[in-house]
Amino acid sequence: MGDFDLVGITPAATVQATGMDTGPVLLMIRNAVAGIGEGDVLEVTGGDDGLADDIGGWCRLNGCEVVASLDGGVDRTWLLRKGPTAPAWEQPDWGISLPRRDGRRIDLRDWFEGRAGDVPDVAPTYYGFVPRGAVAEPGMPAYPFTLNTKADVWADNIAGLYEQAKSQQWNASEDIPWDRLEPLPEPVERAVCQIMTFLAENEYAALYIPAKFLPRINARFVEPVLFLATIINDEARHIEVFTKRALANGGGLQYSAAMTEWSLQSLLLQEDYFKSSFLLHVLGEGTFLDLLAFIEHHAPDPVTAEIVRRARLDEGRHVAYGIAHVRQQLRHDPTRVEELVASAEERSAVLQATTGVNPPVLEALTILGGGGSSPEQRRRGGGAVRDLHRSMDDYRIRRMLQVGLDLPTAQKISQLHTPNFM
Amino acid sequence: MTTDRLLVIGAVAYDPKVVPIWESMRDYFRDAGVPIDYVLFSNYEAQVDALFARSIDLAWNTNVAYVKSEQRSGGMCQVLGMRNTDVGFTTRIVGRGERLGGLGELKGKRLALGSADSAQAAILPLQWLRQAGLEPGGDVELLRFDLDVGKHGDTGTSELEVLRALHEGYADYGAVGDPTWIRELEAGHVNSSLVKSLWTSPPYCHCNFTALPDFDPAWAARWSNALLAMSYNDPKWRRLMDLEGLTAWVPGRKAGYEELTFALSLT
Ligand SMILES: [Fe+2]
Ligand SMILES: [Fe+2]
Repeated sequence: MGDFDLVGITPAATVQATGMDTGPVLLMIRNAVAGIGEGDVLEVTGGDDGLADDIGGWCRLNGCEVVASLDGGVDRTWLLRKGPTAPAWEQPDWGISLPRRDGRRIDLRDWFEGRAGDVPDVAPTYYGFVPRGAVAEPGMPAYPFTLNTKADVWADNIAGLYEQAKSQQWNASEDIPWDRLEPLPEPVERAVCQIMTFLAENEYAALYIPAKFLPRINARFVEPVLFLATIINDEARHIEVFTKRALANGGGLQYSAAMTEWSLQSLLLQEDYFKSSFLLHVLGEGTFLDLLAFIEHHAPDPVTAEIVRRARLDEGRHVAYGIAHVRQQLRHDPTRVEELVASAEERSAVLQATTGVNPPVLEALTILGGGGSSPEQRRRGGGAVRDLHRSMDDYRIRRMLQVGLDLPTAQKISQLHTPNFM
Repeated sequence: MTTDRLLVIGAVAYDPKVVPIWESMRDYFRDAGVPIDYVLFSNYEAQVDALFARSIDLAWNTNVAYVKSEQRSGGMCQVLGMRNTDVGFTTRIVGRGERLGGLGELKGKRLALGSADSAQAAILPLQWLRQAGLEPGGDVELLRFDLDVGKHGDTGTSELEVLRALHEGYADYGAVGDPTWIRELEAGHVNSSLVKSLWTSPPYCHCNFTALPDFDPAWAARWSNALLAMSYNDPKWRRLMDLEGLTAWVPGRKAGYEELTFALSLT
């Protein structure tokens, strides 16, 4: 301690170099300097004569200054003053201990602690993949993120949805009672296969779209990124399970209508995440909730029923994210309602050029709804499908009211919604 | 003199990173209101010729290229700026064994040197050997790594060869500049329990921006002031400064080249 008094300086940190080789000592000096403030002094003790020259050289090249060199006999001590251009790092957290739920679980909802829990409103692109909360060295490159504000991607329930998504994962190979599939009358099996073909086709869009936006999200907003990753996995499973059902029971994949592809392509080409989230998660997947409920209700076999029941649970999370996300953005900027109306109108204009119907799917839903292909069954099925359209419209409007749209706007957009459902 | 054209700066392309450095320099000086363009040369001799042919206004010169320019201009060149790391530059004699009291102790030993046109790794060490009364090649066996001649040691590859020779034991001592030495030490590339810095030269100056004696002083001052204003704490320019190996630009100085001037006058 007497050494410091000698020069009237109190060091902010100390590096103990006794018995160490020069290379490792220089590294320790760099890291210690990074952690002290500009103008602060670092004490290095215990080096030999060789280190003297190397410390001088290091300081010259790294914006520091040797302010004193004290010869304590065998060991020497140096005091280095950190200059304005020396390596500067912020201080990381230490001493964080996340709470446990039920004495054991660490839940994503509980991880908002310290620096890691500090979700910024606007995130610079130059943090790249630095985990939120870690200390970034200055001078990092910018990343091509384009969704750089919290309002762009956040949803209030995002951490809870992520936890739900993980606990509700299932395996399309193991968790479906494939052994309970019995032969069905041919028209009914054809109807199921046609519907499965259509569902699988739509699931591709549901996978590709979040996969496209994920790398655009600034990694500071990791919770939406993690949640989108679960959506992507869910949709992969949906493609798998619907395709498997079409191939499982003596039928096969059936027809795809051009209208479906026009509809999905117009969704995929939407480059604005806010509009895309509204069109895909709120309107498209929202409408699919009703479609899946219809299929489950009229399913001719327990396997088909179980498949759509499980898929519907997954879709519920996707819709919940979309509603919360769009609602959050509208709260942030209410004028963006206009963009939603415009996006629905643009898409509707594209689809005007199509036939607007998907005859194979329409017939399949009718047969499913009526329980078979006799005239009486078709009549009953036709009524069920009309009811389905009404309830789809009704629930679409309710979801838009939840998002924060007014009733006339919601009614208008619902009318414009694609006849493809998604 | 007119400033309605770009100020043209010459630099030697000793590494692919020279292009991003100078693209960034061009951006910087455009923002600073003293727009520049740059011309890349494959060697410093051609760059100095271009300076005297007035096809460039400034040359980003090594100390060797600067001293040769001074010889041609009768010592009247202007120095418009340099890196903070160009001041206080030293050569290290590194090797196994005890610290050296002086270079006279190299008598009868094998000394590894870098490129023949590198001030830090060849020209100055040879000069100091002579000053210590030793005849290079006679009293001291020389192991020379003449790589990238024309680049004046900028590539650093010959200095890495010097360090390798020491690690592998086919030289007793070697001469390297302190930036290479410190960088390799810190990166853990030097076995520092085996190979140590045993002697440090007096400090000297390294690179600078050289202009001819009659270059417009007002234009020179505007450009220099813009250069000195570049801040390491501005993330926009930090990468450029990291690549170029400095944390601040400092005013040009003509002191610090005396020993090199003397050494080059002998050849
Ligand atoms: Fe899905
Ligand atoms: Fe989905």
